Order: sequence, then structure tokens, then C-alpha cells
Amino acid sequence: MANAEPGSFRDRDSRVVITDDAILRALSPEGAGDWDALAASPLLDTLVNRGDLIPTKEVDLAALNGATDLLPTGVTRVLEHQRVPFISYPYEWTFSMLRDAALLQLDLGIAAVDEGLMLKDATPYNVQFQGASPVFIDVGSFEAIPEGLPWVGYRQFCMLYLYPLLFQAHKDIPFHPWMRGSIDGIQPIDAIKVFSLRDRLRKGVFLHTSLHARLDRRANKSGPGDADAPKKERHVKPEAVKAHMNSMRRLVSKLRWKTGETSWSGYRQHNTYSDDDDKAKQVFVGEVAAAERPALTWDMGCNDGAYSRLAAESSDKVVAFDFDHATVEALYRSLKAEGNTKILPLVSNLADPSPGLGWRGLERRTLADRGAPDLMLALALIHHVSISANIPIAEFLEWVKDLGSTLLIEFPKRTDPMVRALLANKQEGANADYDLENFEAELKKRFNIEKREELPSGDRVLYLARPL
Amino acid sequence: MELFAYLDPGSASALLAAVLAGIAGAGAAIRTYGAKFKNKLMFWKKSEPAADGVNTTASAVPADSTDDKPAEQ
Repeated sequence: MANAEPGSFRDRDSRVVITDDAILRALSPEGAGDWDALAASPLLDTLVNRGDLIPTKEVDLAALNGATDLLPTGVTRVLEHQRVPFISYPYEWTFSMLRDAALLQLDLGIAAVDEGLMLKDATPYNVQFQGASPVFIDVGSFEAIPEGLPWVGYRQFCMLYLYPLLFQAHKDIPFHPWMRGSIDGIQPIDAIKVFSLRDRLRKGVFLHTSLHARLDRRANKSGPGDADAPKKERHVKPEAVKAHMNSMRRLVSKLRWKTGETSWSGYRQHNTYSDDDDKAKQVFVGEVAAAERPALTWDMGCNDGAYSRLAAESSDKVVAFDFDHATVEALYRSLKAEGNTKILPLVSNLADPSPGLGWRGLERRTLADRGAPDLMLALALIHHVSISANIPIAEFLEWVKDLGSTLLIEFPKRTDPMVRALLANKQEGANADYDLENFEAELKKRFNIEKREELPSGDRVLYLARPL
Repeated sequence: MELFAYLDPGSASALLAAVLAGIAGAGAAIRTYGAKFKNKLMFWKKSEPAADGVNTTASAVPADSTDDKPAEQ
């Protein structure tokens, strides 16, 4: 069965198709010409060998199972891409992840010009992460250099890469809600409203935001214009386009998010566990992961990633989620420094996970639609979910059961210092369902409890539970 | 300037991109040719180590070698 990927309709010369066992890309005759130009240049092998571009090979047209009407001008060529283990989106990345993706986008664009090619767009949705390593996945973005055009993806680059990075770097404003709020990113006329007069003196803000917004306003005022009016001739040389991208690269590479560099807001530094509890948890997690050998593990509320690393020893891939941006940023930096390609760190709030976005709500998938894990770690998490976010215990367990994942969960009792702190500002008897007996009863309704271990402090219990 | 891309670059953005490309292109040319011109003007800097044969490190580090670094850094 071949299904066109619902998020890949914008480019009429290239469309991703997902079959039961392969990720394919259908190319129109024009798209095939661009692919031939890329394949004939030394760029393809260089980028793939460097891990910058997803490994791709040409396959027979028959791989599409007859689905050759996917593109308006027909399909003449089919490519097969290596599968990315877990798809993530820029509104789940940290500042450094978005910056690294931006630098990859620019590096590819600059290298392409040298080979007579150009990238036809500039969107972070064309970049994925394999662990802490960004890889460009849209081979269809490469095209023969269009005669005389400026950098076609410039506006898109500003809206989806530069403004989010500037918001975080200069204003410490999280870019995630903006990116999640609009699939096309931040408009120049909206971005400029965020910057003060002083900010406009910072490098890049005046040119790419202030001036950009001013020109946009002027264009909006003058309306769509006359389609038949003669177009102004302006011939931009490829070397100048390359210089433009190089200058953007210099700007982006110097952007820093100071909070992310200086703080380790991880729970581990402020946690309330004893060393004995920590050691017992490590043994429990290590043993479960070794026995399960999961293809995909999710570590919900990963903090500094200590348990993600432990699980990664026996898992093919681990996705480490935490809602705290600075914590995940620190984890990404350490994973990147060690060249880790197994653990993917993401910013995500379990109580408000990524929704479906874009056309028909299908262009960007919900978290659960991107592949449920074989094993889910929920360590030091349920009290935050239940008490802070007020999600009923039964509903949380139902969600995990629906995913079909084996659950390794830690339940801190109401006597635990952190639980008491979370309940301190609530009325007497609040969150009555947050109770060990009730938790075990709800767990047993949906899972087989295969392992149960009380931690040495007596305040916390670990469970290994498999869905019924 | 005719635009045929699948992505509408926006008329204002395309104009700005063209202007910025012109500025960046001119900057890159000035950096490249400026460095060459400076090297020619300061020709004695290159021959200095050979001339005195002593102060090699002091004369080889140089202001112009930093100017020659790729623009990215």
C-alpha cells in the first residue's frame, strides 16, 4: 500500500510516499532533471558521507504500486530514502537544535551554489535529527540554479529560522509557541513588534526584521499590483546569492541564548531523592531495558537524561522529552559534544503535547501519530502530571495503554517530600485520586504488573507494567 | 527579475534579498580583492623573514593573515 505523505504536497515536482516498508519520493520530469543534476555532482556523495543529507537511492517506478498520478506533470522517477527513526518538529527543538538546523540549511545552500545548484526553499521541516545530529531530508529541494534570481528561500528562512532564533537570543522569548501557532513561522511585520529600539541596533535585526517589515508594509499597502505590468529586470549573480547566505551564516553562528548556556535547570540538582533510591532506580531501569531491548524508548520527563542514557544502552533509539527548555538544551549540548546519534532530546509538555498542524491538521503529525514507543519511562513524572496538571491518574494510564507501550513507572506516595510540596498550595484532600491504592487499582485494570519494587526511602514505588 | 519558484518569495522579500545579495556580494569581493591588494601593497611583509632570517614568528603572524581568513569566521 502506497500513501502520499500528507505533509508533502507543496512542491509540485516532488512528493513523499510512504509504503509499508519504504520511504519513497516521487519526482516529476522537472524534479527528475534536478535530481540528475545533484546525482551527477560530487555534492551528493559528499553530503551523504558527511551525514548532512539522508542516504538516498533510485528505485524502480514499480515501487509506487501504480500511484503515478501524484504530481500534476506525472511521475517519472522514484527515490528511496533511509528512514528517520523518529520525526520531530522545530517547535520541539531547543535553541541550539534550531540554530544547528539553520547552519546546516545554509551550509547546504552555499555548497549547492558551487555545483550550479540551489535550494528552492529554506524550512526547518526539511531537517530532522538523528540523536543530536541534524540531517537534511528533502533531496527534492535541490534544483538547477535559476537564472538571475536572488535567494528564493530568504523570506522563509527569516520566518522559520532567523526570527525564532532572534526572539530567544535577544529577548529570551521561547520560540516554540510561535512556531506551533503558525506552520509558516513569524511574519516580518509581527517580528519587528517584539524588538525595542535598542534591539534594532543589534546585528541583523535592522536589516532582516526592521527593513523587511517596512518593505512588507509598503507592499501590502500598494496591493497585489497589475499582473500584466512589465516586471523589473534585476539580475542577481549566483556568487552574490552565495555571499548573502554566507553573511546570514555569520549572523546565525554568532547567536547565543545565554540562559541556555549558563543554567542547568535540571531536576537532578534540586531533586529530593536519596542516593540509595537513585541507585535502586538505575538498577531497575537497566535491568528492564536489557530484558526488553526496545526498538524505541520514550523517556518522559528526562531531566538531565541520566535514565535516557541508561535505557539507550539497550534500546535502538531513545526520545528524551522534558518541558523545560534549558534542561533539554543542556542535554542536547552534551549529546552533541559526544556525537550521540541514539538519544533525541525534545522539548515537550506531556500535558499539552504537539497537535496536528497545517492543511487538514495533517501536515505535521501529533506526537502519538509519529510512532508509539515499545517502552515508556515515566520516572518522577506522575505526580507532576496528576497534581500539577490535574490529569486524572486513570486518563494518563489509559493514554499509555492506547499507545500499546510497556510502561516503567515510578509512583511517589503522598508522603514523598516533592508530592507534599506540590500539594502544599492546594486545598485539603485535593487530587484524591493521587493515592497508591487507587493507582495500583487503575494500573491493574489496564496492565499486567510484571515487576514491583519499593525504593529504600519507602516513599516511592517502581512498576514494570505491560498492557493487557 | 522573473520568479518561477514553487515558493512565493514575497515581492518585498525578493527585493530585499536582491539588495542584500548585492551588498554581500560586493562585501565578499572587497574582502577577496582587498586582501590581495593589501598583500601587494605590503609586499615587504612576505619577504621580511627571508631578509633578516631571524624574527620569523614575529613577522609571519600578521595582520593580513587574519584578513585572509574565510569570511565565515
